[in-house]
Amino acid sequence: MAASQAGGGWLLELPDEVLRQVFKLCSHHELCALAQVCVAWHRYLRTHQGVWRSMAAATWGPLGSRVRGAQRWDKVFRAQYEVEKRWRRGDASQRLLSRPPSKKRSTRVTGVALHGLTVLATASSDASVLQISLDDGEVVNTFVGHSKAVTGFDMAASELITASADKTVRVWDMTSGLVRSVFAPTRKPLTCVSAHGERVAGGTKDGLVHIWRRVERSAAQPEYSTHALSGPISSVLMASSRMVVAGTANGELSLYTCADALACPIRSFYTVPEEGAPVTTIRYSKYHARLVVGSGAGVVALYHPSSAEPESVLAAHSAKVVGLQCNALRLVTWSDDATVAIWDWRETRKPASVFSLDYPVTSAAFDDRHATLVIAGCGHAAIDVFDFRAASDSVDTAALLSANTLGDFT
Amino acid sequence: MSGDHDMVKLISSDGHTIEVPEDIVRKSQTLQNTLDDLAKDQLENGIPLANVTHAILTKVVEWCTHHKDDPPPPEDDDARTRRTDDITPWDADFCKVEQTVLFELILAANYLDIKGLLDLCCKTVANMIKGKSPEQIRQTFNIKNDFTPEEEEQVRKENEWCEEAGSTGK
Repeated sequence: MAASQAGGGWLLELPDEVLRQVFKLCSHHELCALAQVCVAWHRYLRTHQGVWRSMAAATWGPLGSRVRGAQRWDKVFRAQYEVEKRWRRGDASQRLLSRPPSKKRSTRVTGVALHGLTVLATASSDASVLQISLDDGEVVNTFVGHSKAVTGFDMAASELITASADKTVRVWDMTSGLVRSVFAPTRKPLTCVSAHGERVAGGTKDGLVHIWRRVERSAAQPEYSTHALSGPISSVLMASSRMVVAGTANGELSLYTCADALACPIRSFYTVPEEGAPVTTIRYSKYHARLVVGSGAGVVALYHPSSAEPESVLAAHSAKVVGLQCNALRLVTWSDDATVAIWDWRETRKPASVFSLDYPVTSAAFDDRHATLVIAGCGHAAIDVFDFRAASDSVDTAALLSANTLGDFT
Repeated sequence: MSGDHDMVKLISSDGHTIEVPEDIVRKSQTLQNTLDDLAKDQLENGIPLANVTHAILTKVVEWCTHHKDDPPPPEDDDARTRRTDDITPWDADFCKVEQTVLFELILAANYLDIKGLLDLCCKTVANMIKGKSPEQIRQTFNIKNDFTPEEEEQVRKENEWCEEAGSTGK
């Protein structure tokens, strides 16, 4: 039995599952070259969109395969490839989103987040939480209720969760802007908040972590509370519906599970490299199964959640890492050194690109669905918006990344 | 510790019978199932392999014999960590064959379900494609360029997005 030389040669005569295996070993460059070989290959790669679909999954992790309904995966792959290239190069169009003027000139935006085509922003000086349209800067919603600075800020499903120096945690319905639950009062001001599933965790200045059930409409008593940690809580993460991680202003990181009434941490350790540098942000990268911890010493450290040893330390900034956000593709860190760094997980020795701003960055957020990064800072009267799409990009771009799981906001 | 009962008769599609030690035969998932399903006396006449010629079967047995002490290949790992540059010199030599032979080896490995051999063949094919221009791929696989000049230009434009200078792929 000799292989037929008709059309695309013997390669095209291989059983589909074998061809698929070969394609898995090829890069997109090779697929593009194959499509230019002859009519049969061109047709094959056009009609077998699954090849491009698995290429997307192999290149960008599980997110690619989550997108349903795409007809032309070659186009989706290409559009996303172009966007990814711009993320890596820091090639974005920049515009300003003016915020309503504040009474104080030094208004410090303590949090920004992207929710669809709106930005949620909190300001610490006037206790306000605003939802602003990404298009024209119109205020879509004002979340009224806190009486003191909003210090912590998280999103889960269609809810916004805020923690405030007024010693309350509030859960808001994002579409109506109405408060759904109030958890209060704690003894000392709250510094941070994090939500996952049905639980909300908040940290306080007197070193306590409280956990409430999100479904409650109001609760004076938390479901769980820790014993006081070694310092004020500076960051908290509800990593799963059962696990909570707390970081203190003196660099201690503690892991708890909700099973044991939070009596004692299952693990507690001091972060690297400088003991005593405050833990500023804790995130969990599902894709890498790592805790990603930002430090007052300017570094970002990755920890395996079940061992205290840091897996790697990223020399991120020359000043305090104020916050970070990550997903399967990238890590974005921002700092008091007035820069925002974008890291490609495949190469973490240095950032893929760095944005230098003329203000200390207090908060930032990115959203892959709209290929957008927003940055706000201390004393800066506007929010900077960076758009990583090229003008020519089709809507397909957004389709690839429409999966909620990619957001990894928590 | 030989013993006749450790040998299995395999009959190629062109009618040749070869005797192969059972542990070698069991490298093939397909034949392993056959061995487990059939009674001893049903195996006396040998197992016919309708899709595999004597020449290819000999090659397959050669590979299985060389690899008889290998641990079972791992399940498909993450697509991103898949490599094609980890072929041992013996395996590389084994795959230095006419393309028609490679093609039939792949079909046989697929039919007999010998994962290690199929993996090797797929890597070999991928390596034949890697880093090549369309024209080099045509030469490698002896494929005729049947695009019209207009089509060729259009297809080139369609695919120029990933041709970055100095790019080495993923």
